Amino acid sequence: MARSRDAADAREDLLELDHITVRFRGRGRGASFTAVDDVSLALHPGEVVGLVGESGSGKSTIGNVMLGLVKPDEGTITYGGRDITNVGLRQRHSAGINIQAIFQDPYNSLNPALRIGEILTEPVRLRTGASRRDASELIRGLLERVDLPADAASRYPSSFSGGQRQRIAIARALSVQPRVLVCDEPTSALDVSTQSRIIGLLSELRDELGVALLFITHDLALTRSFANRVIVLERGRVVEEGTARQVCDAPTNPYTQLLIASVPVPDPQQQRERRRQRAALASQVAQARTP
Amino acid sequence: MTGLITRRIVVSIVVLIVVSFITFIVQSFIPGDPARAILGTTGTPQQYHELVKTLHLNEPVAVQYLEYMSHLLRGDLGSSLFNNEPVASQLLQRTPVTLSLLVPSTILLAVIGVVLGTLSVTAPRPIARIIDVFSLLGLAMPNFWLALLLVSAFAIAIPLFPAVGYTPLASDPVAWAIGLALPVAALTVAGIANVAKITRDGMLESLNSDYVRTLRASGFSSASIVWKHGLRNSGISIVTILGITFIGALSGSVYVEDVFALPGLGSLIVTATNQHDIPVIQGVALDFTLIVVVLNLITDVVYIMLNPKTRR
Amino acid sequence: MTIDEVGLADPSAKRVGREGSAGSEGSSLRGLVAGIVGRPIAFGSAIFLIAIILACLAAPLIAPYDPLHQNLSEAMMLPSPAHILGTDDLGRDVFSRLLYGGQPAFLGVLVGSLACFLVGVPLGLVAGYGGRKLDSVISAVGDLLLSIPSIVVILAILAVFNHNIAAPMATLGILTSGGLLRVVRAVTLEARDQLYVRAAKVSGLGPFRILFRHILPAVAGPALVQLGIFAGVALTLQAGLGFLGLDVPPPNPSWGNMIGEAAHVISNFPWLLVPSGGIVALTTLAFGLLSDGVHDTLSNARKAISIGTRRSTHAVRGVPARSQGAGADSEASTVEAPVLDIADLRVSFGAGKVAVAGVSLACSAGEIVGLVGESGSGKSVTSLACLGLLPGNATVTAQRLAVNGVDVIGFSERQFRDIRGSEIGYISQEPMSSLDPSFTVGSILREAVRRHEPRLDRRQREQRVLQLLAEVQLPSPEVTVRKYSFELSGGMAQRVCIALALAGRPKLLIADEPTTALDVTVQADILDLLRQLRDRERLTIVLVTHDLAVVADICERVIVLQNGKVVEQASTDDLFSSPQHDYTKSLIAATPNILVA
Repeated sequence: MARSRDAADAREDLLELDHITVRFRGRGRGASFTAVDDVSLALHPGEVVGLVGESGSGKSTIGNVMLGLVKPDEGTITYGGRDITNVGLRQRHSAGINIQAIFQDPYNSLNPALRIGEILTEPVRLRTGASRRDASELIRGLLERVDLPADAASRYPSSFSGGQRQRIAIARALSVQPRVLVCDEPTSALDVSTQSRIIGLLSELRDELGVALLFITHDLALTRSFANRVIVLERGRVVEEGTARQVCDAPTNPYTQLLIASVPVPDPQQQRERRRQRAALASQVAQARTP
Repeated sequence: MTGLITRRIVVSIVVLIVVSFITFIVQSFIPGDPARAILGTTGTPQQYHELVKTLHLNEPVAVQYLEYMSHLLRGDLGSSLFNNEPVASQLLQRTPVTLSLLVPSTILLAVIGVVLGTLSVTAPRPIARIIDVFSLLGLAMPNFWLALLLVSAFAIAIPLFPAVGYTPLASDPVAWAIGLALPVAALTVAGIANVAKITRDGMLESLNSDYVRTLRASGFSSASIVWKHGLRNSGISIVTILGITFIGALSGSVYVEDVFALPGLGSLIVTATNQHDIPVIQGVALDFTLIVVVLNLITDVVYIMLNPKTRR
Repeated sequence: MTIDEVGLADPSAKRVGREGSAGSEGSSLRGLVAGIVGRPIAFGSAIFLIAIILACLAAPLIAPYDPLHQNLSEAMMLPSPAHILGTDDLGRDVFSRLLYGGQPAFLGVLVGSLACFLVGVPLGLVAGYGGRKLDSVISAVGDLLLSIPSIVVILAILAVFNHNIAAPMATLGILTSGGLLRVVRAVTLEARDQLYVRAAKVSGLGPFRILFRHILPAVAGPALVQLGIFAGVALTLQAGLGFLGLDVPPPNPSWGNMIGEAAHVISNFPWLLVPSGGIVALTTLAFGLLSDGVHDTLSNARKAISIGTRRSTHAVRGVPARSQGAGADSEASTVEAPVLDIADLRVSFGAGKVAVAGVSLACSAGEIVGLVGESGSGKSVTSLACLGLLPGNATVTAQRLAVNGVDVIGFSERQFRDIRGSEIGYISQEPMSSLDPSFTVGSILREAVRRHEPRLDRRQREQRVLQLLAEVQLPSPEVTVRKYSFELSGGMAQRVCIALALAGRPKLLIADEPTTALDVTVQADILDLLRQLRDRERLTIVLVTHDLAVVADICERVIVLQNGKVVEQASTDDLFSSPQHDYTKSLIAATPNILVA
């Protein structure tokens, strides 16, 4: 794997979240619920950090905090050494903060009323003030890079498959040369063969451009192969973190252990064994609970 | 639940105040001198000044409005500028007539509309088509024109029903019903189309849902799926359209009462408009608004009962 | 469309990787116009409206007579070559009066629509996009406006501004804007939540740009639909005011006052009613049909997917034996009759869209068989065909299709209904939306039990319901029966769905991606439950999935589908240890394995 960073860079934190807490107010009656509870994490260039959890774990909220879509109630966000916690979404652009996103639903993340060319040139022209012609040139290059035909720019999203639309979304995110890319379940709605191609594309881009990826997902098996580091969330709190290998092969937290044990593998014999292990683990947990 | 009802009551009071204010302000735009208009050419200067004082015509508008409101709260809605009859008693007399028109009409259009709307989804194609066409036509015809057509056909050409007039329920129920047949029909037709359309849209959405597929897969009968589950889930949008249609029928009753010479609120306000009889107009406006307010309260309660999330 | 055909969303359009989804047809102005032109009724209405508006505007040029010219000797005449719509009670030409009379009508509609639009759209946009406080204030104002009976305000205004057309119609527009406001607000709220708006925000677009580029296009269509409806209402109201003598001063004609005049001579000359009211009715109808056309254009794609055309039947048709293709012979044991026996199943939706192109499979009692494929493989369609739950536009043929030995080829909807739930059960992918949200769990289950075991009395039925809930290992059945679907977690909801599917004690259960929407720990529990149910009841389960890891966990035999055809069938062990077909190999290779680097 080509590494486009040197050792000094590797230690530098590109983006840091410190003790982030996010609370959402309940409906009407005022009872609030804590979606993210004292979470800290750091991203380095060229690194893939997997943020895993089940539903309600707060992983998407953390992504939204990172993108500036949600303001944290407590904690700070540091980007390249600067505190950007209170920098609004629109000020991020002028403040030189470049964090982009790709989302889960490829059928929803592209405006169906606009052509691909219009969708892609919008962010570029906004950020760089480039002329329409220059922007189109740039877009053409990007479309080629993500393996889409050159005529894609003149078509509407409805003429593309789910996998192709995710590629367009990736092209859109990359068009402004982000340092950090938040990927919120980008392959959950795709077929498994399309998924592996998209992951391959993301890997290549990470290597070429040194972009840091926050990979939010519920798919632990995918995380193990794709992420460098993994952070496991349960109900808004970090319960385990480490390298992907550490967390997936030898988890120390009981929740993580049960989570890993519940992931099925595409191998019937191994899976039979895993079921036995899981049953043993579950009864251990049950026994530990009964007095 | 009580929170929602309280909110509705507060809004209702605001609506009543707003309507009374609008009709009051509008009056101040009338050119000319109301006192002079009432007295005509026969009054003495003395009577004129007396009248101005009684009607507070020389004081600022705000004061006049407060006077009006204070009278209102005491149940005094003033008197007609034309024949001096107290407005309040006219309202009391005429409201039951208008309600005799509105309530049966609403019930009919609810039942027929829901049935037709459901059938247009579930019946075989030719029947559904016919229902669609009738709905569209019904919606397009102005109700006063339909009323005239009905009169021409069923009161003049074939004298089955009376063309004009009203018999109070208390004195002769049968005549009351017969006299109301054509007016209610005229008012109901357009409303049926509205209700049928919304019922149809709601049913289509329900019947295309995941949970209906599950019910079918579990072997539930289509009667239960359509009339119990489908309808129940369309309930809220049906109640909404019923509310809107009722308000439309309220407006429509003005014309229908005119055509059939029914002594209700609608014909009163039309006469008053032609005569610039402001106190009467204000009175009817408030009465209509009160009816709407009560209706909104009822629909809100029904919403709460229909929506399991609010019942909890 | 009959109840039988009311759609089941084309299953291949669900979730994983569906192609070409809704929304683009009407999203642009061009799309809208194209949609109208393509719909003859809407197009005809548009032409009619344009023609009639132009005619009324050009009245001074094209009217054959002076509308005020009286000629008592020619009064109350029926249509003739000289007067194509006859004359009224004062001998005036009706046709000419209609042409002139349209002017106040359309002026009123224009003023009213403008007022409604200028108030409703901006307020709706702000309410939908501007934050909760602004929203509640504006919504309250909108509701207030709708609560005011417009007729009284309008009449009050007319008491002051005699014979004015614009004032009452502008008032109507403002008062009715509450409805338009509500629609615009709803569309804005929905658009605001779309991912492409979120992406635009992340790209750095400001709120005005987002409103203009991304939200306004979504709003335009529904707003037009509302305005079309409003135009009809405004026209009717304007005519009504004319009818009451409150619009143009006599003797000038307006459609409304012409109806009023017709009312006066209704006993002698009823014909006068026809042209005067007829033109109002026709124009209102045209507005309504045009508005419907716009509405249909906007929701076009969605309708096409979920409803299907109105066919009288989609029964499975039997076909004689063909030469067998790949994977034709089933590998089920021949000791007992197979619980599910499919030979050469073919399903297509309309012209050209073939979903299943010759699938054969058989399952014996107590087997858990996996039906694996990616999107478009036909796996869901195959399973729904066994239940007779495909949309009305599906053409289904098979050489053999038998459930528990009963041949369902040629089954009517009633016959399918008899076997659904009692011979064959079904659970689907989205447990939360699979339960009727307006009824409690208990209510739904009770109805199912009543359907399948009608002879139980109330107490026995209640016991059976609780028993079903206990069988799917729900912790407190007595509490769960009183809950609604939105009060359940995903795992609990799926257990309830399983209980519902098993209420009629079927021998065969079709499970369509039952764990795809569930967390992984919950998935493992549900798979365990399915295994136990199979062990206890000798249930046959057909598990439709795209996830090979799930297959490895629970299925004993696997059937791999690609593009509607069976490419490989084997026992699970054999399939994973030595896959034969290239497609199978690529699927296995692409499936992440947490144990492997």
